[in-house]
Amino acid sequence: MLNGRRAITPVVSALILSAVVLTIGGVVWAFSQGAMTISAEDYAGSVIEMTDTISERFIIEHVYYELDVVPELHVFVYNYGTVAIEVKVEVKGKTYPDTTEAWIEIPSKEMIPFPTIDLETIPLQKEELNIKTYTKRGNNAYYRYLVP
Amino acid sequence: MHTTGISCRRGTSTILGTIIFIGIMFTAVIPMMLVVKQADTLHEMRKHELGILDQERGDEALYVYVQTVKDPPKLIIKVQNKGALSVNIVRLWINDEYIPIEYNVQPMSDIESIYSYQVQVPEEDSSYYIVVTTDRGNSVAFDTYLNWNLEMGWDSDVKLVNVLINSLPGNIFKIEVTGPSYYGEALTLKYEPKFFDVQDEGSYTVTIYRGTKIIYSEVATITDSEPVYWVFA
Repeated sequence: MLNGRRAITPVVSALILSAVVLTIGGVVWAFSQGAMTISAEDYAGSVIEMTDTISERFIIEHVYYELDVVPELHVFVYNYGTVAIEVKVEVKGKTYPDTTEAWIEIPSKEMIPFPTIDLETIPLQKEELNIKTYTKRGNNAYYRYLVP
Repeated sequence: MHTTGISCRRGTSTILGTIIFIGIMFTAVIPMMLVVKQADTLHEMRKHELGILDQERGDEALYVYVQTVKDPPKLIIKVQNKGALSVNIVRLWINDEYIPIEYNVQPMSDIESIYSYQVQVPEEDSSYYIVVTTDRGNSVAFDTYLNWNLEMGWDSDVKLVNVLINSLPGNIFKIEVTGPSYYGEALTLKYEPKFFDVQDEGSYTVTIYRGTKIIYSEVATITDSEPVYWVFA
């Protein structure tokens, strides 16, 4: 009689233990899958971003200055790389476009005339203007322009 | 009996745990490693391609020449590709104006005309500066301003003998250019082009010295149709 009652306990305990193992295992499995998927996506995303960053190729192709109503500087940027870029231009410590969110987008293999830059002061003849253009991804190109 | 029961339960848990571990390995860890590996491979491939692109950009050897025509006034832009890669010209700059063009220059080409620019007869003396841009991002300029003079027309009917030393051994050289009524000499460094404004048609002997020793000599023939001659030594 006693033996008969005892016989149920190992089955119940085995079931309980298996259930615990399965539950914990399932949680760990689900967590691992989620974590690994997120990690893999993050990693792949960062590698693609890094690849795009190193793929950027651009030059300041041409610059000219004219004295209209205000002194104006015209800058032409050529993106000869395989990824589109977003750029700003810096001249005499001022950035154009001057708002943080505004960038000029240049598709791959395109050259665009940058919006005219109104210089605040008339540059001197033979003054050297150091023009820097930089992309949202942090690459730079420089051009030294001698005012005629 | 009691001991056997505990072992059995442990055994079941161990099997389940192992199955879960293997499941995690195959459904989470290994796919992640594959994605990481694939991303790394793509990155390496891109780096390799960019390395080639940069090298090709550096290897481009395009030269620009401009011939002036007086009547009607025009500029004939010519190029020569002395490199081992074909070059695609995408733009031509004449002063601050650009003209989009598509022109492919085969490697080791002869001098080819790529564009004839009709000059609107200027009302005052004016200068023209010519630059050509390639699709690999190189800008190549014709090194001389071409000046239009109201009375004389092109006063820069330039006749130039240009010398670029890029393969001779050594660093400092002396260049002598002698012609029918011209003598010019200059000291130069390797990779530094020198320009001799010879002014007249004729044959000019270009002699390159390292120290007192003649190490290179070439005859440059200047004509109205070929007013610029490059010596590459």
